[in-house]
Amino acid sequence: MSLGDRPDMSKVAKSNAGEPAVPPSRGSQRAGAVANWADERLGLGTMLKKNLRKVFPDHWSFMLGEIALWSFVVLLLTGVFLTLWYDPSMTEVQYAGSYDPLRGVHMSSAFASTLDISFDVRGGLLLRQMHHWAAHIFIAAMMIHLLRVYFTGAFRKPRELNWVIGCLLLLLGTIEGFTGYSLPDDLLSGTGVRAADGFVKATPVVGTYMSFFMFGGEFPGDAIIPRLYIAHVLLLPGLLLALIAAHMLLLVYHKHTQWPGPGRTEQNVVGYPLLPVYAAKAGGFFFIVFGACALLGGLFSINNVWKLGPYDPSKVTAGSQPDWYMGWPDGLLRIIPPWETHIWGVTLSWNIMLPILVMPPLMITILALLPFIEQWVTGDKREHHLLQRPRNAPTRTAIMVALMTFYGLSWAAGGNDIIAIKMDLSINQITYFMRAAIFVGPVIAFMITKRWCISLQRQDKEKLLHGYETGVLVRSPAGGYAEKHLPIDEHQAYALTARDRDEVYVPEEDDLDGVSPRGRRLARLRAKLSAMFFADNVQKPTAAEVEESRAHAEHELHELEHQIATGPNKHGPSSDH
Amino acid sequence: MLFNPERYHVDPHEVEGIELQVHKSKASLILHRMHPSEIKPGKGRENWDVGGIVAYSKICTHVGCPISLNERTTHHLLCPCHQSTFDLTDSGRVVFGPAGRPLPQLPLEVDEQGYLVAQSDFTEPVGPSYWERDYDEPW
Repeated sequence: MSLGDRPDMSKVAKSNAGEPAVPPSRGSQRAGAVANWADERLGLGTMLKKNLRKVFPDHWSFMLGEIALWSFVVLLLTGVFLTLWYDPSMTEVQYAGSYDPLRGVHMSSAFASTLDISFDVRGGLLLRQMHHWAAHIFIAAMMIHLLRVYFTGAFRKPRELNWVIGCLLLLLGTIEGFTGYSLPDDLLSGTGVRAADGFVKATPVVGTYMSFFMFGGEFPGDAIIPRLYIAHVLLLPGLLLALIAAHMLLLVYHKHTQWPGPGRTEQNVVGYPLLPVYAAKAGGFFFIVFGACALLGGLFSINNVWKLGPYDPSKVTAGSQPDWYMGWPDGLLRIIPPWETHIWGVTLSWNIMLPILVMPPLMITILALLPFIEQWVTGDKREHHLLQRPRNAPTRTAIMVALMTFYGLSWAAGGNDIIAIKMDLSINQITYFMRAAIFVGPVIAFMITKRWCISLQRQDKEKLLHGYETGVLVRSPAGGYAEKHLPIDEHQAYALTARDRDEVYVPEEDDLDGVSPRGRRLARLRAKLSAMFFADNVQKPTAAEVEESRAHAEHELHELEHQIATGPNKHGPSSDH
Repeated sequence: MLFNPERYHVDPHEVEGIELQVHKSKASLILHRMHPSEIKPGKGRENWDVGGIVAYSKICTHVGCPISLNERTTHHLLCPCHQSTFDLTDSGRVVFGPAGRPLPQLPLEVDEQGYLVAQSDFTEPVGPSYWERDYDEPW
């Protein structure tokens, strides 16, 4: 149908007044009555009308946060089941369950009930393992979701506070994980709590008081498991739920970000409505996540607490490792030199304070501040709902890759004993290497990533100005070879050019005249950072450049075609034979 | 001491349940035997071994794991948690890893009945460091 044609409207009803063709069925009448009853009391109609058609843009990377959300739901469901059987008590009992090797062994009631869940409660081991796997997935998904949000610039105004909430969720989720894996009171988790006692005691001035308060006396006491339990099943999940609710409400309020493309602007959201499409997709995704957790819990054993037995402060096993998300501070704790200061009658344990009391809070703070730092450097106070490709913010991308490298190396250091055994290396050399690598590695990663991004930007520009490589080689009459380039299609060109030009902030000397020395220093720092952020970036070509290149390409194409037509190497069967 | 309460007049309730756990997390010992000539006794520790048998606190001076990996030929003790390594021939000196202080040594002797006993309590606090650790030290 051409644009001039008018659609045939003769079969469309002029009005929907009058009797419906079919009288409503009894069922739908009843449903209508119930809906009306509820609407008159709860005002559901207006709310649903507005929200059921809410549009969500679609991209595979938007489901990473959903994995975190759904694995949290799995945690709640399986966790409720575990509370029915778990006994958070350090009362000493003699195990009399069905796991023979431990029968008769003295242990805490907490450990005995964990064994009961694993061996004597129907489906208990499956649910326990699903709970543990879901916890791993929860934290991993939060981290990957965080990376997605960061790399695509989705944290920019107006979403900075939601970013901060996300960082808090990651922190609380990690603590929730630690309290959870401490509950079985087995040898490994007890060793973890013992280390935590060491961390608390290393706190200046109040350390021993805090430790005695936490354990209700001397370590291990009989209070820590009930306290960890209340934190794990009430306090932390409550906070997590509240923050998740705030996170989701802000998501709805801000609307979801979208990738730039034809028809997508900073003012609209292009995607599927909540009902029926998005609700079905997201709801279905819950079952996929649940199923994945069930498969993992059913097929892959995790945290076999019965192998090591109950906690005994005089015992430990080789290869002791915390859950993976605790690995990076543990790695720093392993590679830190033995720094301890004894001065004026007090002890300062830098070998514990730096890796445990300083670094994790510092990392979370850096993470939470990233949006605000970037905003200050760029001076960009506009709202952003269109995402950016990581390559188009090379310094931002490089900062996160540097942080990831630091994290990864620290994490690997947390497995230095495993690496030493599996790869037959010297643990001392691994440790010395890591001491240097956590400083050098991030710097190298930063430089490589930044240049890599800029190269990709250059390639994008190349594609815009010279088209894509067709793979068709043409020989000229002179004997030279050239590859035929064709312009990329308009959608692709739109997506490649849908970004702002970066501007380096240069403070005008006149403007700084009336500014305080401190303000002047800040402005200069901002200018330096701005240059670091943007000076090397490749900007998108101007419209004139694109036009010119198009004309040039057309000319080149004609020339090539002419050469093909007249040249000695005509394709196809020759007619001379 | 813990498993022979009558001999040392220890209240029996001290050696079970939580009390036992509390004692274990402080009093755990490593008894290690080597050739007497291998020992490099520290100052004032010349008579702390009995025929090459030395006793050290088993609780790591870093964050308190019980150290348990013994390197037989070097008499080094390695903590499986964070790999601090202590030299038992040399007053429990830290030879590697994050621990900031040597392992506390328990002075040993033989009593008149031939039992291996401690000459005294540990001469310093055992376990991980804490703020008030040096309060009693002259400074």
